[in-house]
Amino acid sequence: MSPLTPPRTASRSLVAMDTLVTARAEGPDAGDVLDAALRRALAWFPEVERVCSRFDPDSELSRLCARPGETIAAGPLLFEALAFALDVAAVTGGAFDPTAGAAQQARGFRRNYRDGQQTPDSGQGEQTAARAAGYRAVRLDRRRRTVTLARPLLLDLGAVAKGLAVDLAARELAGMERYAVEAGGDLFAGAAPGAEPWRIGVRDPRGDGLLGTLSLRNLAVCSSGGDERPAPAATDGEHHIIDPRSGRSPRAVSGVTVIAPAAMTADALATAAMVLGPVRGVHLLDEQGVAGIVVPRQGVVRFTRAFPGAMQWSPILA
Amino acid sequence: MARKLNKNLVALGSAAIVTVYSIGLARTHSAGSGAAVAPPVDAATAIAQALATATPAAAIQVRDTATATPVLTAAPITSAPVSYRDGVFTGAGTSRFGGFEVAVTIVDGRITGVELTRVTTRYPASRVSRLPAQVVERQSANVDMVTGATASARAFRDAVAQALAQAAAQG
Repeated sequence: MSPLTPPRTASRSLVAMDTLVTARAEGPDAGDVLDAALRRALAWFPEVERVCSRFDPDSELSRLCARPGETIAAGPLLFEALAFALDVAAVTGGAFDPTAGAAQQARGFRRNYRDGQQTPDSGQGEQTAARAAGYRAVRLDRRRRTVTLARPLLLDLGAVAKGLAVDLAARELAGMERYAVEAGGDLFAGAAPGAEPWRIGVRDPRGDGLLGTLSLRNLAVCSSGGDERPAPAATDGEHHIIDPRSGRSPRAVSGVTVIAPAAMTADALATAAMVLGPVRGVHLLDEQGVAGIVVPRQGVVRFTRAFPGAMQWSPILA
Repeated sequence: MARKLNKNLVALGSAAIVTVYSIGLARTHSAGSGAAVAPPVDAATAIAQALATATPAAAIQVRDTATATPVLTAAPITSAPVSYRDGVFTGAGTSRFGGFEVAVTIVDGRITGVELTRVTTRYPASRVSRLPAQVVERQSANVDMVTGATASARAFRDAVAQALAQAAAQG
C-alpha cells in the first residue's frame, strides 16, 4: 500500500443467524474495493443460514431431516458443517451433539427469529428428546458425500454454522491491512504481518467486567456462556446450551472463551467445554491444543496450557 | 468421556473451511458476472431473497455504526406477507449493557427504513464506559472488541421487533 494513500476503515453489519453481524476492514482507499470485500464477506451469512438453519423448513438441513432412512447427497456447505459437528461429537463422547435439535425444540427454542413462526413441536418431552438424540445415527459417506439419518432426527448446526460463516467471511477480507468479523459471541480478527494486532476484551461471564485483554492477530475468539439466552420454556435457570446426554443445561461453568485458528472450531470447543465442566472442559481444550479460559460458577478461573501462547494477555486484577 | 478419539479438530475445522470456501469461489467465478471483484451475492439482495417467506424484520442493513448521522437503512423489501400500518414506529431494546432505540418507517405497508436513533451499547466505548471504574482506568478503554456480544445484538433486534409490533397491532 502506498504511503500516499492512507488506508480507510469501513464496516457493514446485518442481522443474520439470530444475531447482529459486523464486518470491518482497513484497506486501500481505492474505489469500491473495501466495500465490495465487506459485502462479499457478509454475503456468507445468509448463504450459510439458507443451508444450515433448522428454523427454515426449506433449508437443506430441514429437507435432510424430513427424509430419515434415505441416503441424501449433501451440498459442500452442509456436508462439511455436518462432518465437522460429528467429529466434535465423536471427540467429546457426545457432550457436543448436532442431533440435539429435538431437545432444543422441547425446551422452547422453536421460534424463527425472522418471522416469529414456531417450528412444529416434535411431540417429544425433554427427556425423551434427549434420549432420542444420538450423533451415531447420522451416517456420512465421506467419499460419496452423502448423509443418511438412521432414524428420525432433528439436526441443529447452530454451534457450527455461525462460526463457519465467520471464518468464510474472514477469508473474503484476508489481504486487508486489518479486518474483523463479529457475530454474537464469535469473532475473527485478522491483520497483515507488521500491522497492529487487535486488542480483544474478554468479558467476565460472572459480571459486567473484563477478565483481561488479549492482543492477537489472525485468530478466532469465541465466548460461550449460559447467561445470555434463557430457554423460553424454562423456569429454573435452563439456558440455550444443553448437555445432549442429559437434556439439561450445564451448571458448573459460567462461561468459556476459546481462541483457535477458526471460529467454527473455537465455538464448537467452547460449547463442548461448557457442557463438560471446568476440569474435563480444560482437559478437552488441552487435548486439542487450543488456548482457552474456563470460568466456573464457583472457584478459580482456569486457563489451558496453550494460553496465552503467542498472544499477549493482560489480566485485569479484581 | 465415554469414548476417546484422537482427532485434531483444529486441523479438521480449518480443512472444512478451505473446502467450502474454494467451492464457493469456484461457483462465483464460473457464474461469470464480468466484474473483476464480483461479490457472490450482494448481502442485501441475499437477505431480500431469503425474506421472500419471512417478515421484513431481518432485512436490516446496518451501515457503519461508527459514524454519526443516519446509520441504518433497510434493505429493499420486495414482498412482505405481513402488512404494516404506514408511519414511523419506534422501539427500544435493552440489555444489561444498555440498549438501542430504533425508528422503523413503513410506507405502503412495507418497511422502507430502519434508523438507529440512540445507541448505548455501541462498544467498545459505550460498553467499556459502563464497566467498573478500575477496569477503565487500567486498560480496557483501549480494546477494539469485546467477546460475547450477544446481548447488544439481541437488544437491537428486540427494538426493531417492538417497533414492528406497534405497526402491525394497530394496522
